[in-house]
Amino acid sequence: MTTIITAQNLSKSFGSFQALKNVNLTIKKGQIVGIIGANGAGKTTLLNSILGLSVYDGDLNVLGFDPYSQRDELMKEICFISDVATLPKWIKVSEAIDFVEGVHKSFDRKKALAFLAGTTVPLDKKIRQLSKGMVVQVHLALIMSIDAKILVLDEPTLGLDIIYRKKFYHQLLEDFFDEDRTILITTHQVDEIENILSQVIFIREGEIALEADMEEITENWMVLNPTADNIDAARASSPASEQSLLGRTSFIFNGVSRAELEKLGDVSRVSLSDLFVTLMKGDNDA
Amino acid sequence: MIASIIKPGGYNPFKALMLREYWENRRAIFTTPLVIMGLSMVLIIISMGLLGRAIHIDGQSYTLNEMIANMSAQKAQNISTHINQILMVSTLPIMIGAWFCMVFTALGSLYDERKDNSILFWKSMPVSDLQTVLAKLLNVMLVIPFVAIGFTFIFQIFLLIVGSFSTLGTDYSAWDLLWSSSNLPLLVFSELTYMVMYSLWALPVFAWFMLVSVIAKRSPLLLATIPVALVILFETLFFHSEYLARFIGMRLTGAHILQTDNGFGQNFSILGINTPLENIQSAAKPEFWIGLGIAAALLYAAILLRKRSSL
Repeated sequence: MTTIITAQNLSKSFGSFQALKNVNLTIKKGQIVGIIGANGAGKTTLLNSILGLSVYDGDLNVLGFDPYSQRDELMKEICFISDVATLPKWIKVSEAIDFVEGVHKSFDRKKALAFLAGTTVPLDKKIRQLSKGMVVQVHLALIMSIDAKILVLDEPTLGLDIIYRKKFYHQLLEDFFDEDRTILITTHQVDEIENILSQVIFIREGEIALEADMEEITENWMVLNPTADNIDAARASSPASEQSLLGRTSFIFNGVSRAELEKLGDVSRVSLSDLFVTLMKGDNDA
Repeated sequence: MIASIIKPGGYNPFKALMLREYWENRRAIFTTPLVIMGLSMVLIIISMGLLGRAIHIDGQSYTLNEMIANMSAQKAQNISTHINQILMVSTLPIMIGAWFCMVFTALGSLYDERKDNSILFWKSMPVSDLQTVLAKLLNVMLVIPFVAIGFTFIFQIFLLIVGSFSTLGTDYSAWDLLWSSSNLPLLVFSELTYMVMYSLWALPVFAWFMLVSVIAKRSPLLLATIPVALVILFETLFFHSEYLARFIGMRLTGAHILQTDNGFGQNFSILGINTPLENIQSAAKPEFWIGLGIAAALLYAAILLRKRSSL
């Protein structure tokens, strides 16, 4: 697989606040990468650097381009939905299609129109007249009709209801994704994208807390629900974290063999949201 | 007709950027001059038809027939000068409207996209900041005034037609009196060259507006004017000079183009119709090129700052 994004010692400060601290990162082609972190952890800063939208320190290479100085070239290969607010309110849907067709060589007008035909979006209406869900569909229709190598989604489904969110990810997988393309996603609804991700990057306070393939995570991280008499034994085997909910205690383990844990109780795979909480607590050495 | 001109034809980034300007600023480009022209036409018809046919020229009141009689009594050369002056002055409402549209479009050019967050959408497109700023500049300095001149042309034709109607039933010939004495093609050509020269002379001021529009957190108008006003005040109080005020005033009024070698005020008349050549000759003044240099520096700064701004 080819590497498409490499970051070395990537840093970015806003005044005295360091949003990114010496981030090192490689992302390969054909992945769906979830970038997960608390608010203000540096997700958007990382994406903005990759997109050439902000200045940064360190080395960053995206598809062979230096993003900041070659943004216009890079954007031929990258598509980007930041959140629903970014389409200008005054533009008509048909004008937005005309514009993207005008600036993107690889734009497939028929594809965009076909996609929109499957929705209730009216072409002659302005963005400000559409519902939030419709705006996302317009944006998605535009983006998916561009033959881009990387798609960056920064909280793409913010403010959408669950039906639109499901539809969004479904369309993304059906109509856009293939092994030549790469998708980077940040979202707070981690659980909804968990099953489509192939790689996750956890960011905490501007640093990468964990970068791993989903397979590695399922191999290394496990949840143990010990039987009542084994709770102390579980606690003694240095779990990464402990959670109590409705009288049940569960532990998250990193790098302990499954066979060993099964002696103490039920073992299941860890959800990304539990893993996220574990990593953000900072009481582990991952 | 317009719809066919402004239809995009596939991949053409700069055209797409110009179309974006048209879509975003339809009101400034098209609606405003159209409405002003329409209102002026209605006013003329009302004032001619209902309000006693009185026309005020140079503080005197004439009925139309009196005016025609008055004019016919004059020499052909005088008639021609008068008609052309009237036609020239008739463009003022539309052109003043267009001027305000230019100012406010320039002030909003790089501000509105930040205010509504759409800058992230525009920046996700493969067009450089240079191209974007240039498209916005061309829209403000050429598209808006040129469309306005188109409307003034329609309005001038309207005036000649209305004038022709009022000669009906009199002994005077509309052709001799109005159509052959006005030199409409030359007039329009003169207006066009004047407009291009105006845009170039005023470029540093408009470039300043665009630079402010990329910096302003709120109200670009205030940020564009108040600091400048303070500097002017400072200059007046402490140096007893008024270079900055003069610089801005001369450029915004287009005085450099109308002004002959005699200096400001002496041979300056808003009614003096320059020939296209006289308009272009103002480029021979060194201040013209100094202004362009300042404009280039301000625009370069605007491009750099747009590159940095992501929200």
